[in-house]
Amino acid sequence: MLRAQSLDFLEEIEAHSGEMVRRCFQCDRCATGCPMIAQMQHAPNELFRLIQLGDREAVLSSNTFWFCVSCYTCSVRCPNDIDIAHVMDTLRELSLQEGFSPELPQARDFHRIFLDCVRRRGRVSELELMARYNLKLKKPFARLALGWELLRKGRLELWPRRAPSVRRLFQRVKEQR
Amino acid sequence: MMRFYPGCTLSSSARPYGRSISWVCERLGIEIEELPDWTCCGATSAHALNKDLSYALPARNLAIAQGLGDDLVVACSACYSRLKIAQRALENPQVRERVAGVLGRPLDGWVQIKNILEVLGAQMSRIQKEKSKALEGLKVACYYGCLATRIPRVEGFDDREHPTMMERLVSAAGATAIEWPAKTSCCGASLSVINEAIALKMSAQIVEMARRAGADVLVTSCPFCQYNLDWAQWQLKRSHTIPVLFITQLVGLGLGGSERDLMLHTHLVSLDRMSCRAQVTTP
Repeated sequence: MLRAQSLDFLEEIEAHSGEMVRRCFQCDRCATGCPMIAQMQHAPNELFRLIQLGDREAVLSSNTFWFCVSCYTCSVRCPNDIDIAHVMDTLRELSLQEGFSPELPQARDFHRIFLDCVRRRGRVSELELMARYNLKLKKPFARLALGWELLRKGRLELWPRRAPSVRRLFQRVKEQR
Repeated sequence: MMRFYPGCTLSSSARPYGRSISWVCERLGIEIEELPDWTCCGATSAHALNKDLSYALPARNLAIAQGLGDDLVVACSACYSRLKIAQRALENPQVRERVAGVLGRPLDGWVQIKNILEVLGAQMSRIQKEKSKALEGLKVACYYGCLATRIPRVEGFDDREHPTMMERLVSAAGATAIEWPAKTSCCGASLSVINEAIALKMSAQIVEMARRAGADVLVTSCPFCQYNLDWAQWQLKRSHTIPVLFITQLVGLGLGGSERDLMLHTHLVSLDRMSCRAQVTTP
């Protein structure tokens, strides 16, 4: 049987996410409930249509999944039971793998630094996370007043307790890819 | 006995949450003990960038709890959501095998993951019976945010769109819960770091809704929600502010906890306004 090549991309996304993106019939419920819709180049349902059409370039270069805050409103409302926020994760991952530059590079940097904090210490020290994020942004003194206020009120931990190492877990995840 | 998974924030920005949970649990005789050797659940960052990590990090903690055979109590909404989502994903044999390979241990047990609100909810009648009059007349807007109730394909402890557990707890503790329309709106989560302007707008809108509904105080069960709503008001230097408490701080107040017991002096927005409504002692 002949098969449209445009289906390749759809099937790739479905295989990676485990979600049936083809079920989307443009009811618009995801877009209606989305708190970030104003920032998005494509509404979630529009992005899904582009996936169904096989427009890899337009999908992976979109800013939609960078502005998704994973509030899961769309996922729990979708009448076709598509975990839309999870598909956004898949698209973000794929887009980075393929070298598309994110519209919110600081989001990518924040998440990378966060995960590196976890890798090194097993738990996240908010102080370390913020310090490293500030350095990455070359704004070492950003939020200094806020940091001081939190510290003064006892809401920043200076010396986090030691946690078991998860370095091997990270290593194995990397090897499995 | 239940095991408690505190997550990374409860010893840092959400210290008052950790402290007030301990106090309330002790007061009510709920036996919880910290899960030994717990590590970070990966939060949003893991699932944002790496699906395998987003299952392996929570699964590591689930495996520890499984080995102990105890229920796992989680307070932070993000940790709760990630642990629940990973547990659901592990029902797929292929995912389970892959993750077990990463962890180097089998994952065939089962652990009951409970939200702290569920655990407190089970003590509702005791809270009601033993409450003081400290909170009488205090109008409370309960704010759930996203992750405590919106977990796809997971049977939650409350309604996804219209949860009521906190309202019931607040009433049991002697305060008045108010109806308001923004209790499951999104505060912007990590956008308060990544894109301040948007997060400020989202959080300020929620506070404004609570103000219009006549709330004296907001309560939440999520560390990020508490931080964002508190931070937004501090950042915007609003003249009319609404203190944002953790649910366990409010329940603790109803049960006779002191400012020190419940770390009420740690909020960015002062509790003065709240204290003139109720007989709550603040600095």
